[in-house]
Amino acid sequence: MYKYYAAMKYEFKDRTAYKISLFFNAVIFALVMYVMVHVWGYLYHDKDALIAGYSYQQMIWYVILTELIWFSTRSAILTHQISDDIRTGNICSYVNKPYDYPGYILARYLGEISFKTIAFIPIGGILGVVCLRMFPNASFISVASVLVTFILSVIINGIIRVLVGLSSFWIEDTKPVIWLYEKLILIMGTVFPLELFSENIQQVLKYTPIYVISYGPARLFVKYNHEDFFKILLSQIIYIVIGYLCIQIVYKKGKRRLHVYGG
Amino acid sequence: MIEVSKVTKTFTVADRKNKETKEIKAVKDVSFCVSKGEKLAFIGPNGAGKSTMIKMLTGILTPSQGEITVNGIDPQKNTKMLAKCIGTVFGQREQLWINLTPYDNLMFLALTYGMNKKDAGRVIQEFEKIFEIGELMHVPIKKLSLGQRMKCEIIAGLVHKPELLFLDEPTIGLDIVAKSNILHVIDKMNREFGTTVFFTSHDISDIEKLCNRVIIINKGEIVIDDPLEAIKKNYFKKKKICVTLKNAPSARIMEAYKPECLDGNKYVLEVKNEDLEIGSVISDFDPQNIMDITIQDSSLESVIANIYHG
Repeated sequence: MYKYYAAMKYEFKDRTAYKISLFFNAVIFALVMYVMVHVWGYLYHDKDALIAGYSYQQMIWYVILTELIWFSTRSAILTHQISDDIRTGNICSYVNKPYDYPGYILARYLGEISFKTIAFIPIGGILGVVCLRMFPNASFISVASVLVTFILSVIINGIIRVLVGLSSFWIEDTKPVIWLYEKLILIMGTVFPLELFSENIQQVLKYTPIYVISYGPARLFVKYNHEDFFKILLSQIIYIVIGYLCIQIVYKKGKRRLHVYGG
Repeated sequence: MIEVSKVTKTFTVADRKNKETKEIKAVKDVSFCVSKGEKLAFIGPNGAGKSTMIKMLTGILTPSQGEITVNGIDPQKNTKMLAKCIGTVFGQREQLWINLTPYDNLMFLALTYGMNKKDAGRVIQEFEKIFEIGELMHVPIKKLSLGQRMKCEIIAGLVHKPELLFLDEPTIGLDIVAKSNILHVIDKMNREFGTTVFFTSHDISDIEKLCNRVIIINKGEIVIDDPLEAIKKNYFKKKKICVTLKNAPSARIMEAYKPECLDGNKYVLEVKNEDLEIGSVISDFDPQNIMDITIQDSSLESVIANIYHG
């Protein structure tokens, strides 16, 4: 495992060269959050009202957390590198190394997003406290459980993106698939909690990655209960195990189809 | 060290004009062995199948037929185990993080090969001396020249001290000095650590400087597998005589040897070794008329070009 930790650590170090890019991403994140706070402020004309069971404060913290996950996990490595490596044949520089290529990419992704998350967490926290003029009503247990589910949600997001990237062994361009995936996560679960959708759609969405990636951890943060925590945790573990097995199968099958440009 | 037995690699490619797929055999029924410590040049024209062969030997591509063992390991079944005893450098691919320094890149690679930080630091220092890149060790890769980067890529392939080094056109795009330095250090690695070298290049002078055995592959098949000296002996069948004369050669010489006039009174004539003795050709010239004379073998480059053309 140490080699994957090394990949994560050196990717983090590599990312420090992109400080200006991170600064602009942080500015965009802050602007989006500012707009979201005002949109929900308009919708909650009466600040004591509940929408889909959420108070105004709960809704704002929910959106801050889901946007934080959405912004942090948009990875250049997972969106471009795998498909570029496969299409250009650069994958040959990584295949014959003593690590597992998908594992190496996942480790680098964790290094990349750790760098971004460190910047986004304080921005989200400060914005929430400034706009609501109060700290979130969260206990130590709820913060710890959110942290666990947040880390697992980041890993699941990475696994899904690696799977899409590996599909480059069969399809030319994976960008439309990534685009669709990102937009689905954004609309269903990030900007709007699942409770805003009809009962039937909610039932379907609870069986999709949206439940374990954005909705689950954010809901725990604002409405914590043990039962939900264990339900989300179990779902996340199942997603990780099945997802990683799928990666291994797809990678093994894909590698046999590898055509490397220039031989 | 390497055993290749009746290996064939077939690619399926789409023929968009006829809307069908067709099979192309990049490598056809190839067999050869490489012993420990050898410096083998595996050469051929573009599309001959040399890179495909290297990628099968390193576990990247899977052969359609035949068997390969490298250091007793099946490259396709045990790629990770194989990775520990081989090093690879692909001249047209980059494996280093460009924002990090060579030191960080090499440290990362050493850690992935299971070394601890202390040993990795010692090995990096050793290579720093061998490759004479001390002053570059803490400069980001993106700030280095192509030759300096290539040196780092080669060290990246060697950092775990592999028994076998695969170099796929490592000197591509490099100037004479950078190229010569790189060939010198590869040779040094071979002498000092007994590293077996499997080398491909389009530059024949690289091969002459480095390798002691040559396999030539053309259209997926091995056409020659001989020591470099044997190739020179068997295929250098012509000599080139360059002669500068005071006056134009006699009509008899023009008739017999048909020399090519290069510049003023400078003439070149090619003599086949089996047809004529060099001495008898020279004695046909009037010694009083000769200002200068040189005798050369054909270049290895022209010999190999002839082999490529069949």
